[in-house]
Amino acid sequence: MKSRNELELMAKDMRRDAYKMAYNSGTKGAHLGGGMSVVEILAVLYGAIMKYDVSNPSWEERDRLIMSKGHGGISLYAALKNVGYLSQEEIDGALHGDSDYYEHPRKNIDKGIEFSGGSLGQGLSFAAGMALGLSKRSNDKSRVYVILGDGECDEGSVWEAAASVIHFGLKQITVIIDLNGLQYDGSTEHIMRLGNMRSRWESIGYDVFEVDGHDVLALQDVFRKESEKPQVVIAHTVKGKGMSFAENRVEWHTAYLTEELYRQALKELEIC
Amino acid sequence: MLEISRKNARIWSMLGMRRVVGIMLEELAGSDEHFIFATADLGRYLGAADFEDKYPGQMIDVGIAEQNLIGVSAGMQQEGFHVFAGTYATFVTARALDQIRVNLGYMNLGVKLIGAAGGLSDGNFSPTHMALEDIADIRPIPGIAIISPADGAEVVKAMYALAEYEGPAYLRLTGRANTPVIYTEDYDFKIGKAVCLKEGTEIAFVASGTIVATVQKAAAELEKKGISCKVINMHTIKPLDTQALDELEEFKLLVTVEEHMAAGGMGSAVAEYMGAKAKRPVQQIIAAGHEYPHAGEYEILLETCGLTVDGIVKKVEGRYRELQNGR
Repeated sequence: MKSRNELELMAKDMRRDAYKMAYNSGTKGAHLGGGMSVVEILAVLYGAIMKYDVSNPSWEERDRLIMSKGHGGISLYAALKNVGYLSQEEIDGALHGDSDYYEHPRKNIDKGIEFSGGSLGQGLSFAAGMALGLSKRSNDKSRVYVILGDGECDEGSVWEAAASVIHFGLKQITVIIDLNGLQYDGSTEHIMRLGNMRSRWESIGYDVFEVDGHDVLALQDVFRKESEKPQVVIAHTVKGKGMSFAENRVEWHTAYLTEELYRQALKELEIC
Repeated sequence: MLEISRKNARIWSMLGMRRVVGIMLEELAGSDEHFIFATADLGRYLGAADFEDKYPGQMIDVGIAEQNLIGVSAGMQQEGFHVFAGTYATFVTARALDQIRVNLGYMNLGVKLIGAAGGLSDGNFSPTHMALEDIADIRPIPGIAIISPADGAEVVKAMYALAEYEGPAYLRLTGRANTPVIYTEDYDFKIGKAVCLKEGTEIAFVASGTIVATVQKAAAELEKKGISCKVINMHTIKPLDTQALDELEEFKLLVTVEEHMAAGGMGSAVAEYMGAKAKRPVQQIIAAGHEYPHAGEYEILLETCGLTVDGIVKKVEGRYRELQNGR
C-alpha cells in the first residue's frame, strides 16, 4: 500500500515530465487532453499495483498493461520513466524527430510497452489473447490491465472483445475506462451516446466498479479488489486534468503548449 | 509427415482444400502443444469439426467476430503460441484489415491467416462470399507472406512450411471439392520460390491457386497450335520470386492468371516488378475482371469470367497473334 502523498507525488512528477515532452515537441501538438486524464490511473498502476521487473522486462509473471487508447502515450512514457524503464533523455526527445517514442506508443517490450496502441478498439482483443495464453500456460500470477477511452467504446470491436473475455472466463483482465466525457468532435453524450456504461458491462458479466479517476487512494482501493469475474473500472476523469486552460476543452484533445502556457501549467502543478 | 503420393493426392483432391486444412490442423496440433487453431465460427467449414475433441485447449472460436479473431490471435502469438486463424477469405482479410495492419503488419506478430473460398468458389451465395480483393488487401502490408497453393498436396506442403515460418502469413484457399491434381509425388516447396511446371520459349504463364491446372491445359492447347508455353506456379504471391521473373525477359508475352479482381492481385504484383525492366515481355492480366460477378455456381462463374481453358486460350492466342502483327 502506498500513501496518498507518495502516489500524488508520482502523479505530479509524471505531469511535469508530460508537460516537458509536450513543450519540447513543438507546435505540432500532443494529446494532452486524454493524456492528462489517465495520469493518476497510471501512477497508481505503476506505483502501487502492477508487478514488473525493469531489469527483466519479459519476466513471465509480470502484469501486462495494454494502452489501447494510444492517445495516452505521453503519460505512459512519464510513468515508464518514473519507474525506470525509460531515461530522462529518452522522454525529453519523445513525440518528435527521430525518437522511437511516438505520439502513439510503439510496442517495445524491453521498454515496458506491450502493444502498439492508437488505432482504437483493438487493445481489449489483444489483451484477451494474452490472457488466454497466460491461462493456457497456467500462469495465474499475472494480470492484464487494459486502458480504454470512453470515446473508444464507440468502436464495435470493443464489444466483440468484451464478450469474448467473459466467454473465455478471463478473470485476470481488468478493463479501465477513462471516462472523461469528451471525444475529438465533442462530448461523448453529443457525438455518440454510450448509454449506461455500468449496466452495459454488467450485462455481459463483468464486475463493475466506479471510481474518481484522479483520487489515487480510491484508485488503489479499487485495483486491489478481488473478483471471481473479469473487472471493469469506470474511472470518472477530467480531460486535460491539471491545466486549468485545458480542462474539459474539446480543442485540447491535441494541442501545443506555448512557452506561456507551459509556465502556467508548471505553476498550477506547484500550487496544487 | 503426411506423404505426397498418388493415393493421397487423389484423396486430398476429392476433399478440397479446406478439408485438407482440417487434416493439417490436426497434424500440426499433434506435434506442437503451442499450436492454436483460431476461428470465427467457421471451424466445421475448415474440416475441424473434431479438432477440439482431439486437441482440447488448442482451439479458440471467437464467434462471428473477425476483428476480435485477429486481436485475440495476435495476443496469443505474443505470449508464445503459434496461431493459425481461419475463416472465409474475404472476412479474414477485408473485415479485419486494420487489425491485420496493426497486429500482423506493424507489430509483426507471426499469426497465420487461412482464407477459405478465395476467389469465386462460393459465389453461389453472392459476391458477399466471393474473395476477389483479398490479395490486394493484404499485399501492401509490410512483412505478410501470401501463399495460394495450386492443389491439395501444395496445401499440405505450404502448411508444414508455414508452421516453421516465423513471420505473419496469409494462406489463400481456392477451388471446391474435387480440385485438380498437380503434384502426385514429393517436391521442393519453399515459401517465395516459384515452381516451373513446364518449360517453353514464347509465352510465359504465371498463375496461382487451383487455376494453375486450367492454365496447364490452356498451355497444352496452345502448344498444339505451335506456340511454345512456359508455366510457372507462383504459389507465393509475396514475397514474389523475382528470380523466376527475371528469366522471363526474352518472352514475347507474359500472361498472369488468377481468381481475383484484375486490380491489385498477383498480376499487379508481377507488373510492378516487371515494369521497371528495360527489356520485358508485354503482360496480359487474366483475372475475374473489375466488377462483382452475378451470383452463380463456381463453374459458371469461371466461365463468365473467362477463367476456363477455352477462355484463356482465346484471349492469349488473340493477344499473341496481335503481337506477331506488331500491335
